[in-house]
Amino acid sequence: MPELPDLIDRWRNGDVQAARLIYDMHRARVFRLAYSLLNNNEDAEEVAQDTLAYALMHIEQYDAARARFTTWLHTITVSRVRDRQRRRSLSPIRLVDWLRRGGQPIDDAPTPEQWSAEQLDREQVWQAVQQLPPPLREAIVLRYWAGHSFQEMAQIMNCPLGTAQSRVRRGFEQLRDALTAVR
Amino acid sequence: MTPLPLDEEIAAYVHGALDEQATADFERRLREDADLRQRVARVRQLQQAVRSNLIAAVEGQPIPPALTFDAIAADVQRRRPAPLRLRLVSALAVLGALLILSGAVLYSLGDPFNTTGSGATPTPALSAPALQPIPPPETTPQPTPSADGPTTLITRTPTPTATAADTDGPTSLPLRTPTAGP
Repeated sequence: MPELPDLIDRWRNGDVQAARLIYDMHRARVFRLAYSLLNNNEDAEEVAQDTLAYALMHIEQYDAARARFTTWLHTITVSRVRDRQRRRSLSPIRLVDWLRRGGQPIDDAPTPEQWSAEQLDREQVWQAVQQLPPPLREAIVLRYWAGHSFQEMAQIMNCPLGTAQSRVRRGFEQLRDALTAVR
Repeated sequence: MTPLPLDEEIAAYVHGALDEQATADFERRLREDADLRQRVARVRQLQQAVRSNLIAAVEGQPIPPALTFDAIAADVQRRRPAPLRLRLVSALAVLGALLILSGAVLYSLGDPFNTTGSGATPTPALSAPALQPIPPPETTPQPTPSADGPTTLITRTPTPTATAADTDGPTSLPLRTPTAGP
């Protein structure tokens, strides 16, 4: 399998096969990032396709000295996701969910044993992440799922480093509260 | 700098968001404080549970079969040379702008094609229309309408602005009368 920098060079020189390989290497990751932020299959598919097409057509703009290719791709993805959210005015939280959460106590912290991965339901975590405000959701997904550093997150989310850090912390606190409430 | 509340400090530590000095200070306190260690352990467990469940949820999402390179291949290949074309168009636009600019500069300096006069002579196409002499009033003989009537000539009346000079010759532009000097 050729290395990514080699593929990028080949595509810059017009090798369409290299573009196809770049696409195949990244399509799942881009789609899943979009899906994590949008929670909608069709929207995520459109965003992923748009992101990959844009990246391939503007490959000259990618500067390996400034960012990893994945970081660049995720920057485009997050930008597209934000556009989509603005256009469709997606609500970060449904009213019924908000009302349901508002009536439940959140101060009975569980014991450490309760927080095992097996005991936490995947669907609960997914729903809790989806209920986060978009900036905090971005931060949690980019940190927990994509594994980006705070510097990369700041680049992707177009915010200061400290903001990226505080968004992860606040997102985590809200997740903790939400997961405590549903238990 | 205001210290963080303990919960926030723990979360920042667990998430790797403390700077080097703050991390060292926090770890020193961890070694001395069992309660703090327990709280950190709890946050870490929750963090790991959230992370592993989130990863599982995201990775479990199937990739749509329509998400293929072939779906965008035509667009990508068609638009691939765009930057080159764009550069060419930009270069032509700059060249055109330079030509227009140089033309304007030459015009402001004078007619570059005028080899007889001074450089300040405006080009005919851009100069004011040349003044034409006003034709003198004509007296046109008319045919005699009838044999029994007197032969009449219809004379065109000079316009009020016409001067005597109008009738004197072809160069009938009103001349400015020289004024006497002081």
